[in-house]
This record gives sequence, C-alpha cells and structure tokens, in this order.
Amino acid sequence: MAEQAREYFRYYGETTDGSRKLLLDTLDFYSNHSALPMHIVEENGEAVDFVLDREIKKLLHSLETAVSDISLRQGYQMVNLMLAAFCLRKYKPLKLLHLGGRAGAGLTSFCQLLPKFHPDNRMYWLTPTVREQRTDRICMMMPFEELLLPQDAFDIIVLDDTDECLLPSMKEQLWLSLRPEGQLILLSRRREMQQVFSGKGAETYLAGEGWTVSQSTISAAEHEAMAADTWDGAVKTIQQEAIERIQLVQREVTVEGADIDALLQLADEAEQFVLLIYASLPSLEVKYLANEWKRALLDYRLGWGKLDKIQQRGNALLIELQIA
Amino acid sequence: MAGKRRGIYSIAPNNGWNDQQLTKNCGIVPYLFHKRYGYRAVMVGTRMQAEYPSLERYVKGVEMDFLPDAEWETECRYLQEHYQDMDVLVLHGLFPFYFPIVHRYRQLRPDGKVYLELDPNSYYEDTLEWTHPAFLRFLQECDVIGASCHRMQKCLGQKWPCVVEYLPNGFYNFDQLDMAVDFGRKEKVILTVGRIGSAQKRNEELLEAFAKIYVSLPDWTVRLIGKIEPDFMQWFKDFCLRYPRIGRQIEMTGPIFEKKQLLAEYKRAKIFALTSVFEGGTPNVVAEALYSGCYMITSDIDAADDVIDEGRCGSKYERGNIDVLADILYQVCCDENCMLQGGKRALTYGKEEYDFEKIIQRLYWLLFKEVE
Repeated sequence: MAEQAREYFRYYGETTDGSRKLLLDTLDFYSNHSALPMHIVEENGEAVDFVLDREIKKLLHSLETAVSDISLRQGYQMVNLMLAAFCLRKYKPLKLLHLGGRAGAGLTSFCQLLPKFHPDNRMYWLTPTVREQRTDRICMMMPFEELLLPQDAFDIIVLDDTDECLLPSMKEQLWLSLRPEGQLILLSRRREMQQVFSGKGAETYLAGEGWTVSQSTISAAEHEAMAADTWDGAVKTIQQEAIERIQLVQREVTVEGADIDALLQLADEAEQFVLLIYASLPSLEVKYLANEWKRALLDYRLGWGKLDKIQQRGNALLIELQIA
Repeated sequence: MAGKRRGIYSIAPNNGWNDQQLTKNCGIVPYLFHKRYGYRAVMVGTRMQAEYPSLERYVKGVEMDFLPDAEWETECRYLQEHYQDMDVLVLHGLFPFYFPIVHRYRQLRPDGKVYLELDPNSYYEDTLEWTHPAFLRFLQECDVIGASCHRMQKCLGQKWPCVVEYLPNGFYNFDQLDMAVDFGRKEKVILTVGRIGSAQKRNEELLEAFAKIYVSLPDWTVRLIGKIEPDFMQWFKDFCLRYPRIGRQIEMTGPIFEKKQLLAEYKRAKIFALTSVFEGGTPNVVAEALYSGCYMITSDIDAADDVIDEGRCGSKYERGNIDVLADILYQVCCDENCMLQGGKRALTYGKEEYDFEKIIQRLYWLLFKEVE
C-alpha cells in the first residue's frame, strides 16, 4: 500500500518535546490480538471493510458533537485512541476505570466499542459526586478524599481532570489499583496533576489550550516495590519477622544448653512486632497469645516453667499469626 | 549512678497509704525488691494514720516518706528532690493524678523504670477516655503495665496500644509460716474475709443464699472475718428474725490483723466464698484462700475464672442470683470429694500462679530484661 494511503490508518499525537508519536495503527495486524478484526473481506472478495478504522473514525467524529471545546475534544480523542490501542494488545477481559470527569460524553462512544474487543470488557466510571447515570458503563460515586480502591484490579485507569476533582493524595492508591503492566492515562490542564500522576517514563501529549494527555505504565517491579512500600506491605514484612522469631525460639528452646536469655529477647521482640501491627491484623487474640507465650518462656527461664507449655502456646500463636 | 544503692518508690494514688496496704501488693512489691534485690524501698504519700505497725512487724526495711498533702504539685516537688534515688517508680491504678508525675519523672530520669500496677475492673476501665493524648502518652511512658486478672489483661491488651502483662495479687508468707494444709482437719466452714457489710462485698448475698439451705446443713457454719460496717449489724439483726436459729450457724469475728491467726482461719475452712459486686482484679484474699486449700466459690467478677482456675478448684455464679449460689453451696457442701479435690487443686494452683516470690522475679525481668 502506498505510504500515504497507509497513513490513513495511523493516528498520532504530538508530545511535549515536539515529536510525533504513533498512538494507534488500525491496520497493523500484528498488534491486534482482540476479537475485533481490523478488516474483513466480503464474500465476493471485492470489497474490504476496515472494521476497526471505521469504528475509530466514527468514535472520533462523535466527539465533535459530544465535546464542544476543541482542545478538550483533542484530548479525549487521544485518550480514546490510547484505550483502543491497549484493548488490541491481548485477548482477555479488561477492567477499565474512568475516574472523574464533568460528563461521561468523552468516553461514551468508546464504551460502545469496548465489548467488541472482548465481550467481558468492563468500564467503571467513578465520580466524587452524583453524575448522570449511564447504561454503557458501571457508575459509582465516592468522595475522592475517602477514595478506597481494590489493589491489582484495573488494567487501565483514565484520570479525567476536566472537573478538577483529582487530588494528589490519590496517587498511591491509584497506582496500586492498577495491575502490573497496567496503564495510567491522565487528561488534565493542571500542572500539579501532570507532575503527580505521570509515572517514570511517561509520554505526554499536547492537546491544546494547556490540556495534556500523559500515558504511564507501571511495570511489575515498580508495582511490587510500591506495594512493599505501603503500610500493608510493611505489616506483612513485620508479621513475617515476628513469625521467624517465634519459629526460631520454638526450635531452639528444646536444644540442650540453649541460651534462654537470648531466646527471651527474641520473644520480647516478637511481641513488640505483634504490638506494632496489631491494629492491622484481623485477629483479636494474637497479642494475648504472644504475651502468654513469652510468659511461659520466662517461667521456664526462671526455673519453674515447662517446655511443653512453651511449645503449646507458641504453636497456638503461630497459627493465629499466620492466618492473621 | 553506678555502685549506688538502687531505689524503688511507690507513690500513693490518692491521699496516702493505710497500714493494711503495706502487706498487700502495694507494699509487697517494694518490700520484695528491698529484700531480694537490696533496693531502698519507699512508700510515698500523706500520713493516713498515727502508727504503721506493719512497717516493723511485716515489711521491715520499707520506709515511708510523708507528704504534707496529696496535690500533684507537692508530688512533683518531691520528685524534683528525690528523682536521683528513684530508679523504679511504682504506680497503682489509672488516675490522671499520675500523668504529670510520670511525665516529669521521664524528663528527669529517662533511664528510670515505671511499673503501673492495675487492679482493673471492667466497669471502671470502660469509662476511661483512653484515646485522649494525655492518656496515651501516659501509657507509653510506663515500662511495664500489669493487670491482676487474665480477663482484664486480655481486654485491655486488645484495646490499648501497649503490652499489658499478667501480674496477679499474690501471696507472701511474711512470717515463714508452715503452709502445709491438713485436709483432714478442715471443718465445715464457709469462710469470707473482707469489709463485712460493705456495698462492694455484698455479704448479704452469701447469707441470703445460706438461709435457703441452712436447715439442710445443720453442721455448717458461715464465718465472716473483717471489720463490720455499722449498717450491717442492723441488717443482720433483721435477717436473724426472718430465719429462726440461723444465728447459731453464723459467726462474725471482726478484723483479724495477725497473719498467723488469719491463715489458721483459712486452713480451717473447707470453702471460701466471695460474693462481691465488683473487684479490682484478684482480691488479696483469693491468694490467701488458695494457699490454704479452700474450695473457691465466687460471683462472676472479672477475675472469676482466675479465682476458680477455670472450674478446677471452684465454682462461680451470676452476681445477684441467690438461688444459684444456694444451689452451688448445697451441692458442694454435700460433696466431700469435690471439696477435697478442689481444695488440693487450689493449693497447687495457688503455688503455681500466686507465689509473690515468683511474681517479683517475673516483674524484675519485665523491667530490666535480665534475671538477677
């Protein structure tokens, strides 16, 4: 195909450094692993329907009536192209989160296209206050100051700052709610939001009138590091430290000539670790069990305690801590 | 401070100490630190009575420093003058009165140790504004917080952001008396010890329950030892009018201060009964009764399961339920084997859990993380 004709199927965005980057190629068969074909050939072999491109052009055209502001429209167009490109990558049910936005019109056409890539694809629209209800997506309302998102839940998140409701404090939750190799797309004209929500290696595109669209991917390694850096991650680490100390004491206390004073210090540390994370553990019993176990060990050290009591209490504590 | 004799100071929670408290946990802890570890032991508070015979008789070596009043400014001034000698500070109960004292102590002696001894009851603890910043700071400034019954230890540990240890009110054999119990010589006595007739002790409940069964148990006696509240005598007179001849089976001795004599009373009784409406942790009488091999019957106070070793040496009943108490009394009094087995278990259990010599060693480790 002549290069010019080929360009018909390519959609670009202009980055902040002035370069032009390909957002979507609707005829790159190798990039399409979705259920939606890029083209179909009529039975008689004469006509070709460029299905995907037709849908994309229809989608971009619909934005001309849906979004009156030209710059904003350009921003939404880029977002839609990025979403489409993502949906081609793999044939699997995707969960997309659209967060914020004055109106849902910017992604309405895409919601209609979404199930064609995979029938189980879902779009969720989360807003801080009640917006218009839609049937083409799952609408939810939650004040952004109290945002609570499940971890590892979404494949792609669109942060729609057209209503300027986004808060920097949402960053960690948003990143963690993305699955590893998930994407965060931000449409905003606020510099602060652009700085906060653009990840490492983000590509930022100009939409006009200060609007930008930035696209970031969170790698599996980054995701893991971020999860470990949270309070929940720290709790897991401390919990593991406590378990290891208890297991060590349980093993060593039966050894002839064991240094019980040293084991007592370990037991004391384990108890302090449990205290540190107690509020985050579902168990009500674990703190008491840790203390009872430590006391059994102390009694043994002082000369009147029994080894089997230490073992019993230690085992009960481990069970409680490991299921906590 | 190396080479200097260490000091343990026990600050009274309100006005000051009375003589009886010197031989309870308040006095025994500093006394044993003195006796076992060579500490200088000082009880600090206002003078509550002219003489303190226990100082000479039971806790020789313990000193008392009397303050002119119980205002916290006076306490803080005392702290300022003596902090260098105060290596361990012992507090009794959760009172806001202590908050500025401990905070000041921490500033003056960051290396010092604070032991907060609690005789908690669930009713009082539930009223505390425990999330108040001053309260939380106070908890953090204590090195060891001890509760005297398991149930409260567990409950407070679940609630407060700190470790709460189990440190019961134990038994200490001041006169090194022979603690052997001859079960064959125990008599058909239901004993109770305490402030007879006080609203807290609810002795009326014991007598009302006994009144339901006394005719069927003509050989049994209820013996009440302790100072008698004036109103109680009138109540008792009316009670005896309601139940003819019951007076022959009830004895009130008044207070017994001499430990040898008191212990003889415990050893003599087959059953010890506690009918309190509430108690702070385990009352001291519990340890005394356990050590004397008594079968334990108690109301369902917070420490009930501790008192009866979870049913192995006694029984509990729902507070106020006189019928159930009467039932339990009757069944136990008619079951010699039950009393004997329960009494033997009480003795063993008492020595395992309520030996103050052991409790003090535990406390020492908890404070200093070493065995002396």
